[in-house]
Amino acid sequence: MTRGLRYATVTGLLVLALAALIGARIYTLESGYEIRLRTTPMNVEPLILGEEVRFNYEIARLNLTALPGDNQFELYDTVYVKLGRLPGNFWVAKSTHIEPPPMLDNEVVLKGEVTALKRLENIPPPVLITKEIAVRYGIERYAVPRGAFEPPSAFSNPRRAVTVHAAVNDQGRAVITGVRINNEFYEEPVL
Amino acid sequence: MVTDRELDKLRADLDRWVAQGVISPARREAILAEITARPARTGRGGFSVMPFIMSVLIAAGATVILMGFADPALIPRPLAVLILMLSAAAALVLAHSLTARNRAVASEVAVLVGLGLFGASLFFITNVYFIHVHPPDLVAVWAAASLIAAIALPSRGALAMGLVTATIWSLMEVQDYRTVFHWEYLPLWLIAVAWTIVLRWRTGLHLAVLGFTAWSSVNLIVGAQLLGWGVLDVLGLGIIISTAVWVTGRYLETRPFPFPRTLEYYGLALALLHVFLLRFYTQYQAPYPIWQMFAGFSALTVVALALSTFPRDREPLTAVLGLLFVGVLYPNLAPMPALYESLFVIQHGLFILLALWVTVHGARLRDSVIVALGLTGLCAEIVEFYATQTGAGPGDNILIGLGFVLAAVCIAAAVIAHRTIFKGGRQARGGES
Repeated sequence: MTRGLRYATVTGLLVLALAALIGARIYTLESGYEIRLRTTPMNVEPLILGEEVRFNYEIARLNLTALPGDNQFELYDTVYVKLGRLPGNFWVAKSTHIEPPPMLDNEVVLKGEVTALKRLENIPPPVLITKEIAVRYGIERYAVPRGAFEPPSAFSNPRRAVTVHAAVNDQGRAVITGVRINNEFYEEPVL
Repeated sequence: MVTDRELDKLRADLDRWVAQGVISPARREAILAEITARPARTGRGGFSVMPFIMSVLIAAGATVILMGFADPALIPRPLAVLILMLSAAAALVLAHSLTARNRAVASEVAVLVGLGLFGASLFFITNVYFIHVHPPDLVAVWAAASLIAAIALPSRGALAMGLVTATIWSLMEVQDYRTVFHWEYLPLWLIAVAWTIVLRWRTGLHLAVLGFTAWSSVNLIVGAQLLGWGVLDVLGLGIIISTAVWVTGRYLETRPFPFPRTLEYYGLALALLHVFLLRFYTQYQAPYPIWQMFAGFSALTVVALALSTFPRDREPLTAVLGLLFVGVLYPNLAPMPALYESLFVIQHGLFILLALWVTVHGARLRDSVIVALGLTGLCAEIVEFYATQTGAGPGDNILIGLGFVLAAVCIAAAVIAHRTIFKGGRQARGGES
């Protein structure tokens, strides 16, 4: 292999790896199941020039004593949260699992990571029952697009209802497809 | 200056002409000497314009990353991604063009810039497109890509990048995600070591040993926690041992000992590593206030860097100044948080000035390790300042800053790798290699 070809191969590999990241997102957007999640904008953080909001989803903190499924989690474990649809087209947690569970109609499984937990007290080891977990789904941070909402700091108003639309793929990965504040909707472009 | 390929062709032609009796062997040598002594071409031909275009693309990529992290909505995403892909590719095209012109050092730096842009782009794309990833996985991809480049091109700079990124990947897994004994690091490390041996690159081997030590150290921390030891106890012990190694190396410099400088640099690098870890862990560990640890970190780094560059007769003065800094100035700021905050920028500014001075001082001493230390400190501080100003949390700092830190560290590694820049430096400060 000539030197030029070796450089070309490495360059191609790097570009392909970057393209694959975006390709995976497009695949999720195109093939994923759309869900709507109620959320509270936790805080709006100024970047140097723009604005970033952190979403605190209803499904971000799960009370495992009230949900069926697995309840023995460790910090940073992967958790599969089965979601069910409510009449208002919103989705709520139905059960938690260590392995991907089977799904029925009107159910979606979201993959997350346990970022904090509380255990049930008064239970002797080695059985460690988890009482409550905080879960990160990877759709918590959102850089507010310039001009998407009026006024610019729309997320700072606590009286406004914020809904996040997300697409979930077969592996349980979610991607934000749009954000609604009251009746204002901003759809995320595919690219 | 002619390229390797042109020179090979000329040699073949000359040999043929000598064999045919067209020219004499002496004439052959004279032609070769005349051709190789020619200055570099500076014409406006298409080929010489290429490095300029590639450099513009690289600068565009760096600008996109800086602007994008400051405000992801500032540049349309497809345009940003296109520029990033082009800039990473441009750096490698430039590296190839520089290799063809026998500019080995510049070519290595171009490879590093390309890989740095690639790594920063991984984080950039996942950030602006809100793609959920396990952050250490991105660093693992970065490390794997660097090692592939190191073997395929081949490139010492890429190998250094691979070693550094692989180590950071492992540190992230262990520190951020409390992974116990992250053995997945070892295969990548072994590949890197094997390739270092194939390339007969001694500095790379030192880098590999340092990486392995860092890996062992963080795994030990997790192990010690399981045994009930405090993180800060373990890190404190690490700092004391490293400092002892450093001071011993310094002491042995005037004694008949084969590797005093190597010992000194190992001690210094490991002490700084442990102080960095201390700073990281204290963000989560009560009751140690963050500001005290931050101050301690900066002060210790300042002292370490200063001591490593000062002439022997001035070391006591530097040490006293450093101790005053740690022991008197900062504790007195404790009851005055406002003053501490107001001095934040000044402290950053002072550190950047010091790191610049260390870099220049190292260049004057013709000591590539000191230059590398200065550059690393400089870039780390710039990144820290940048991350502080963007209001990012400790976890985000890694995401935002990693690209810059690694690019900087690896460019510093390139400086170490190519001691040709510092030819004669060993004679200036002793003959150890």
